[in-house]
Amino acid sequence: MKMVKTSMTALVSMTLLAGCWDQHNLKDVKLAMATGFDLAPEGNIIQTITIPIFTPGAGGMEVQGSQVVVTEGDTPRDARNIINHKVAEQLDASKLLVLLFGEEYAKQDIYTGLDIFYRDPKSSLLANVAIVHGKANEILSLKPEDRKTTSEYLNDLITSEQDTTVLPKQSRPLISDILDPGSDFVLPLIEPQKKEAKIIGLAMFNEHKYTGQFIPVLNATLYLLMADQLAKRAWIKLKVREGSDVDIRNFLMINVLKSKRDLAINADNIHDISVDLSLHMKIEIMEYHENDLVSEKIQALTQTISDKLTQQANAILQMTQQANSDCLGIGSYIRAYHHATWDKTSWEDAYPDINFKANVTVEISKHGVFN
Amino acid sequence: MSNPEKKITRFQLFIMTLQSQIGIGVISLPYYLFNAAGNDAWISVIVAGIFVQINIVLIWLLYRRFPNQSIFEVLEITVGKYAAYCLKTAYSMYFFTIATLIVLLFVRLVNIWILPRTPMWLVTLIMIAVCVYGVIDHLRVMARFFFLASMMLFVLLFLIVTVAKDINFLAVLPIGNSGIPAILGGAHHAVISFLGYEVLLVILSKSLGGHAGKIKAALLANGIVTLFYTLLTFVSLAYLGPAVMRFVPEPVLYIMKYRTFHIIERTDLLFFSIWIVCVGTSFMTFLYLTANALTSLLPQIRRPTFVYVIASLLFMLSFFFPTDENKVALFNKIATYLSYLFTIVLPGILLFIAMARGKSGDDPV
Amino acid sequence: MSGAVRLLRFPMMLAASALGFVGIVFGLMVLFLHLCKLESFGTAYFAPVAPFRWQDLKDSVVRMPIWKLNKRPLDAHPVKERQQSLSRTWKKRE
Repeated sequence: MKMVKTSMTALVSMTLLAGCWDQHNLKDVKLAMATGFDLAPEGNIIQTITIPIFTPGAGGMEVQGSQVVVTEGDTPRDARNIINHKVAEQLDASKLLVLLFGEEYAKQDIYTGLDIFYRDPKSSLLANVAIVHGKANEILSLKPEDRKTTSEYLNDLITSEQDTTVLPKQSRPLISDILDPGSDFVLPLIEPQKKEAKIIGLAMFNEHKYTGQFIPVLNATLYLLMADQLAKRAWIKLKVREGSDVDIRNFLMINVLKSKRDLAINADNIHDISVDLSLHMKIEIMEYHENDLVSEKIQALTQTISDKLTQQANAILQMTQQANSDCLGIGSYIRAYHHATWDKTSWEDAYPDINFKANVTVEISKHGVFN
Repeated sequence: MSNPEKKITRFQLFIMTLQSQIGIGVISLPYYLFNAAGNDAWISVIVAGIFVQINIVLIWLLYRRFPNQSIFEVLEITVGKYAAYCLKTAYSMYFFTIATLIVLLFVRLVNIWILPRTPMWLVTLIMIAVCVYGVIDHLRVMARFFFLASMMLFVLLFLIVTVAKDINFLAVLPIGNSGIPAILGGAHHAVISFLGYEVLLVILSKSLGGHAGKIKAALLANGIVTLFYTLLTFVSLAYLGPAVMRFVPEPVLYIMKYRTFHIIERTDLLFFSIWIVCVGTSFMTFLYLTANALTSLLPQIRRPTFVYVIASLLFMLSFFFPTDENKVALFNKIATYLSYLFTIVLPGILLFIAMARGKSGDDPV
Repeated sequence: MSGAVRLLRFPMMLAASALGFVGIVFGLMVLFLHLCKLESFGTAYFAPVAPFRWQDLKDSVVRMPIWKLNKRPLDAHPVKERQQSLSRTWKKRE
């Protein structure tokens, strides 16, 4: 009887203690909310992370700024390990919000830096990835004015711009786009200024390397519309009249309400691949300096806007071809619908030579409450 | 049987077959199929489903000749006492193997994804203890619980459907690219995920209803399982893309990792936890089948005792569970071949012998 | 039932502390298995839901109109299933 009693007690307590193996207490770890990778001159990696500092406040633990730690290592995991040598508690990256790559690092290969995030079961794949025009170190050392921590600031910056169709939304894991032979991707490009980080464009990638060329932020919205990724708002600024750049009357601002993209790909012959991209948008005029929007004027304006947008779209396509970055995913269309052609050619070599033609048509459906 | 077990209804038959089939295969199925069949892995699932439908019809034909006996009594009637002994032992070992496989794969996944430092035998112990509690009483208890567990399937379905709006169709085209042999090879790998319909061998005779109704219930259950798996495979393929599928052994969890709601950030943990219930039901089925087989061998000992014995045996085996991927793959392969033997070959032979010798359910044992 | 739930919180808490979310799932499984086994007076505890009788469900949440109540629920093991039909005497008078 005593034997049974002791064994039952042992069994029960053993089951209760089972949780101790995998306990992961918040008080024992330091959370890395933003990470940045840079390339050191010798070729190894400089990793910068920001850790929010929690202080006990009125409503529990409050965040009071962030701590920036910089280390050097041979691989990302190695650098993170070395951070553990410097930081008071264990480092944990499961709540990562922002992942930054310095320009130089991205130009050599982005995939190696991402491997730890995809392998660790506890890591967070939802982090926003961005490239820095300069060094990631500089951005992470900024002290933002309106948010307590840098990571929150950067994350909210990127998320809010995703809603205004300036930055692409990541709906699928980045790794699908990196490894996909039929398409390349773009990532936001941020530049550190004195007190804030500014988005200057979309960095174009070729396979896993940053090409060094980017789509400027002025054209980013149109690019995303061409990629069929309209978010809640999409504002485009256009110069509709020739004249000096400082004259306000030469510009107008439109908001795209609906956008429909059609791709007509002709790929029967490998040397003669042509793509016709036609974009039809319903827009709303946000700012226009000649009043009197009556029907003939609207017609004329529609034509002007369509022409300007077509010009811009063609320019963007040329930029992608120059950078050899198939951001619109034409390759995957060809692989899906014209599989024979896909097998015969290497898409990397074929992309710069294809004939791209864009055609944008608009329809002014609203112009505010003023004529 | 010494326990007078009341019969289950046709709907419960349907639910039991459904839940026994949906188990460990949910998480890794797309990966194995992709390795075998490439982009057309989802077609392999449909092929495997059709194959299982044919198998179910075969089992039903055998049942129709012997409406009141489970497979073990059928064995005795058809091939005589001594051959039946050997075959019953073989069946019990087969069911035990599948039960072990289920537990092994489950514990391995738990170890990799959520509880890396907890030793495997502890998770096995808890899983076995919970499932033993469900099996020691009669069949109706299991049927009731399986119905409650089916509610979980709706949640799983909902989670998968929310992912579906981000899929990229282009990744799955062109269809039929991999060729027929690859698709058939993929179907072979999918069979493990469809296992569970062997429960029909035993419960068809324990359920109420007419013959036509029962076959409809069983075929419907398998049809739904096939559709569910096809949807799962298709969404995994289209979401992750063929370039990444090679690297992700548990694609469904990976997708869930990426899908966040406003109130739930780690959807993969939620999916995993719900999936535990499905694995538990599959395991309960096989535990029940093993105990049934052993009881028909040695009728003096009651079924619950056998359940405890098998559970303890499994627990002791869990200390020797292989963690090496090659060994697990080998175990998988052996289990697939065994399943072919015991679910198609043996019932087919039995049916043939029964027809040849003119035996049917009215004959004395 | 509130007393039972209050008492059950503790084993659930223990299960959660042992294995986290997985522990809660196992705890709930044990709970539901136990409830599936319970039978009071020959009727399963989960009666209209667990053996799933669609016809018995019509009275579980909202009582159906009287002219729909023609079959007795099987949980009570009735001798006769059909109830004596409720006469619509208000209609007869017309």
